[in-house]
Amino acid sequence: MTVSSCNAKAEAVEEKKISNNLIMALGIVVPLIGIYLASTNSLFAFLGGIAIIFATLWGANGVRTVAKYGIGTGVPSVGMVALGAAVAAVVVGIYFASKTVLLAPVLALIFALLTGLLIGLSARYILKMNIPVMVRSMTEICGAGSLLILAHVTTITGSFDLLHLKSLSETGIVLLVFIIGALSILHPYNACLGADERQGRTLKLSLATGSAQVILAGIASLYFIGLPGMLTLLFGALAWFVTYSMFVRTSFEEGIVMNTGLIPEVEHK
Amino acid sequence: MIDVNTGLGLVALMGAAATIAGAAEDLESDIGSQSNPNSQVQLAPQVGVLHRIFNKAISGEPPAYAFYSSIAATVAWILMNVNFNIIAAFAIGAFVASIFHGIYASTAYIGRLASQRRYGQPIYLDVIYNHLPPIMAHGFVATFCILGLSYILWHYFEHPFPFVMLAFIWGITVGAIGSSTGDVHYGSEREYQNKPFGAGLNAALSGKIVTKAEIGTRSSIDNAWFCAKFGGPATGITFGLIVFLDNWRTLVFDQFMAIVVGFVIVALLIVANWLLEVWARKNYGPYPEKLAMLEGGA
Repeated sequence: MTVSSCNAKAEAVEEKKISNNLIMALGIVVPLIGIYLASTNSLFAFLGGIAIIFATLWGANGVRTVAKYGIGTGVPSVGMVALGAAVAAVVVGIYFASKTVLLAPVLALIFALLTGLLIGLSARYILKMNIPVMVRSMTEICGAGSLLILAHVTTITGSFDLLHLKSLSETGIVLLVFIIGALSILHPYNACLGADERQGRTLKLSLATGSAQVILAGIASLYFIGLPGMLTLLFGALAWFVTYSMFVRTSFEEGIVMNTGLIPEVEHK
Repeated sequence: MIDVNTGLGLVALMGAAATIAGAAEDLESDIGSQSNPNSQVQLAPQVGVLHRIFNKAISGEPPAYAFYSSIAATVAWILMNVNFNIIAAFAIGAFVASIFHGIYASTAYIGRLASQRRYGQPIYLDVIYNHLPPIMAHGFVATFCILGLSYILWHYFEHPFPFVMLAFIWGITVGAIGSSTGDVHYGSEREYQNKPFGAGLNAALSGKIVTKAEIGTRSSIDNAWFCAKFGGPATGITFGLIVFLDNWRTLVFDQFMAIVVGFVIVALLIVANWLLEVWARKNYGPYPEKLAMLEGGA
């Protein structure tokens, strides 16, 4: 295998880009509907899983957009900042909506977007990071993070009011939610980092990491809502199997796959 | 509250669990080339050095270990709540965490190598099959020990934090220590084994890691074998000492004295490190002369 033949193969794959606006719309509407439906009855808690998957998709696309500018080792930090801001926004949102609980997801999203905007503006104009998409991406990632955390809270406890958030915090499971959320948002781009990274493949991985979280949310919800948690677990396992297979198939189509063998010779320039 | 003698025994047990966890954590990250040395493995194909080394980029080690530990702790905690045997609950929790570890590790290897196609870097299927079991197994041992020491702290010492939170915090700690202590042995010694000791890394050498073994091609499992001689145990001792000394001082002394003893321990360690560095420089430095001698001799 020579480098020149690999280049020829590289050009064969066309870049089909999905617009950020479409992903943002999907990332706001689907999780919000999922969160509201999941909170109606614990039997429907598994619908929160759909919210988790789509919020992860939106967040991962945001990380990809900003990290494309060459933030190599900063990719994990971007995910952590987003989820950190999102946790704070969710707590504030749920607290302010304690009288009219139904407003909580919308308020949490608004607070998260504002926090993200502030972080983005600080990074762009105070820290002088010369990344034009910084403001928009940080806003998007924080918004996705807040919906992701709310989706987890609803899937695990069956509701998104202050009482349930408190019980999630007292058991420490909110930290599980934080870390699996952060890792699932940052992992897709981090795991596909490289010159031949492609949006389609990265987003397929984000669907897989999103589904993996649903399995974990299902396990955690067994403690809070009991047997209906099995529905979430099974839904997550099925979704993970499908999306993980999609990702592996795409990667094997796009990469050079060898069963075994020595290191191939390359033409040194 | 338990008496001091029982407490000391428990603290020693925590130290032992932490030592095993630290060693397993470092060797696991070496098999996967995670964290700091990962940048060189990632860079290698771009400078024309193709390899058969595992590229496991799951964030840095601290978040990754917080991830595995909190998954394991959640599962174990849910099982403990239905009166499951505690050791079995830890084992099942660590097993579930290692499954997720394997899933994330495989996506990182496949995804990153598929993104390096233009350099001609293949995705070796046998590398995935051979490396995932040791990665998951070392991760299992590390996570199991983290759960053990978190449980002792939570149950016997009645720590106010919930069990999952303690496991999360110890997970971050073990990752941070593995990243700062053990990675040096793998990153600067093993990846650049063909360069003289203490030479430092010239920017022009970035990515030009060793890819040939004594016989055949180097694999990441060889790296674990090499690092098990020094990097892994050093990480284990570091983490074990931190857990042991920190809990020992708060157990034996009262509040104010515990803080003073903490300062004394840190001061002693600083002096010891300084003496060690001076000794090393006298015996192995000054580096440029030693380098010239080594290059002349070779």
